[in-house]
Amino acid sequence: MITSVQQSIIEVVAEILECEESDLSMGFSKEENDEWDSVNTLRMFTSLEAEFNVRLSMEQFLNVETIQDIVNLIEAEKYDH
Amino acid sequence: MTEKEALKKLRELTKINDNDNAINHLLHQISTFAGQEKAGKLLEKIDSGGVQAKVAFVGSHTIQGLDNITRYEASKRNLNIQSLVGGYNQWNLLMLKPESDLQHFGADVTVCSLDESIIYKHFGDSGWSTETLSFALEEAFKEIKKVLTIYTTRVATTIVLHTIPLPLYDWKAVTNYREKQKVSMLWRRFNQDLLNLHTTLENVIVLDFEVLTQDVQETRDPRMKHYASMSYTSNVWQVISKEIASIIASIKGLSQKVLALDLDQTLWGGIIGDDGVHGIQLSKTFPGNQFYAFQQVIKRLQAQGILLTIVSKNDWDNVKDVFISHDDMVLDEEDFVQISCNWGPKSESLANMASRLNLGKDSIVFVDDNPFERELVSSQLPEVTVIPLSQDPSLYIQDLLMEGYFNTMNSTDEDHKRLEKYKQIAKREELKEDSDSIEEYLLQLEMELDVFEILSSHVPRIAQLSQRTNQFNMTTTRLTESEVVGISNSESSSIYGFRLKDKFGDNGIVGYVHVKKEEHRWLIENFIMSCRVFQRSVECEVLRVILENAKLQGVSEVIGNYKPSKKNKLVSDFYQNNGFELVDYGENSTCWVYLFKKEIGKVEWIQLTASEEGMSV
Repeated sequence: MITSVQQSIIEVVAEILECEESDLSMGFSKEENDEWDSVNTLRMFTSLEAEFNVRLSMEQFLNVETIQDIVNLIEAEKYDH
Repeated sequence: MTEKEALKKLRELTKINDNDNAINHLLHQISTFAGQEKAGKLLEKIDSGGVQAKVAFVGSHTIQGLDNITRYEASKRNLNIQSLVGGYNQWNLLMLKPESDLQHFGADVTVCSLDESIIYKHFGDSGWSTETLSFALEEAFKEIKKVLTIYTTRVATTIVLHTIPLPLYDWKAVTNYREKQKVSMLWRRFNQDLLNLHTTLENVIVLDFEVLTQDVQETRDPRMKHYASMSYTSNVWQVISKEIASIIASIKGLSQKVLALDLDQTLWGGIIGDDGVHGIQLSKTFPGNQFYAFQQVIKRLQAQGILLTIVSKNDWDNVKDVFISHDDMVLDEEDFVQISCNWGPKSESLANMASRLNLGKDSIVFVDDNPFERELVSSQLPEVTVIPLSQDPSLYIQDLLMEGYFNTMNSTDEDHKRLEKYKQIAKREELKEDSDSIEEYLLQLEMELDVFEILSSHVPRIAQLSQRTNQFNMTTTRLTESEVVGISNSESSSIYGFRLKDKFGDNGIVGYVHVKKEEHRWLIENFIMSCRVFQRSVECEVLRVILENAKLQGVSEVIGNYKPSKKNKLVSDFYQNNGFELVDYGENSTCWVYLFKKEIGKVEWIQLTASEEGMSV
């Protein structure tokens, strides 16, 4: 069972990495996919900001390793306000 | 349909590489930058069957995403973009280097996005001061001008730049208000110089960044600047890419020419049949002033050569009263070249209109407040551009102008006279019905034709014909103004223009023939004629004059090519019908030769006249 935030993040990431949503899990790491490069990191950053209407820290986002890390960042941002 | 569903459908289309008119519909459902950029990326894999164009992107900062969103915007205008993206801060090197990838790419349009770094790099070791800024701005302008000059000698391309905004915090960092004003003025002067470049480099177009981005929420994002050297946000790319798409469309002859308007709840508020002349909303005060303002904008388009028509389900008797007796009606009956007030389907009215005006359906923009009518026209006439008007009439002007459907590269007198010409066509149609035979009709037109080698004053009109003409265009080779100049200055080639007058007025220059000359052989590179003068055998008489002239110069064979496009089927038999023989039947073109064996008869109903301005042949 995944939350709607998790689901939306998976959709965005799958869209950008051009893979199936079923290939992605919370533990999915950027090491597993060559498409997860610096350009696509930027794409994710802007897409996720737009999707969740939040402002993220670029520095923290660059340190993200897994999808779970993204979830944590966004949830922290969302529930901060 | 949501944006996500539209993207999903689009992705499915890339897998089966199938396409139909559904693509355009899908694209209009996508509104976020991320979605549009994604769509642009997907479109690279779909052959949408549109007009091909090559676009190169270079910049002094990271221009990530601009190529894809431009492909998205261009696809909405039925263009298929092949792109080349230059590396970070490579703009000057790429444009200066001979035999570079950029040069070999042969872009139709080169987009060059510059930021303040090209100015600040000239500061050297000295820090920011009004004096160093003044120097740096001058140096930056010199560099831009030099790079563009060299690049344009190598590549026949249109170059698109934008003005560079003075960064807010560089202005705020100046503490003295006198100095602030000096800085602002110097910076504006630099942008003015950029905006004036087109007077010396005619293929350069500079977009006004500050005007275009005034509704953009955030034009800069310091995080992106520091991390990715991106000077402008993707919101900026959204507005800039629309203009780039309009420029490409214009170069490729896809500018729209006709604005077909609904009446009730479009040109005025309310329903004339129900509310009566004095009940409709149209006035100088709210809410009628929204419609008044909308009409004023339409009038401005009309003054620039856009043809207006009415497509309304109404009784003319009701509508006529508004034109005659409403004080705040901005548009006059005479401003419209065709008026269709009836109860038939609007798709039929539009189709009839296109054929009466001799224009392609894809040159029509249809504006209607009623979703049902829009849907009907979209499905029956997919070539017609349909503008979805907002519910709120205060947004009508924005809806109409946002996409730049009517934008052109250069405006000539011909644009302004176009309305009169099309009205002449309407009159001619009436005369046609009275004539017993078509010959008699043509004789009654008292046509006078003049064929001449073009002079420099004809260059804008020739380039315009080249870019706009789709139907009578033997090879669909487009020429820019500088190419036209190059050809007419060359000894081995000529451009012959031709002008037609008739009893209804002067049609101006209505076509040209581009000829490459060898000692005993002439090659007709292209033959173009405006659709205004179709069906009169003008083209036959022009060809006869050219062939006569070739004969006098000792030429023994004249070659002509026909390259089929989506729109020029009309002329596929042109050479065959005029005494040429087929020499080669290629996949993408047919080649014809005239060996002066068959005599070509003079077209009786056209008189040749000596030229008033050019050199007659």
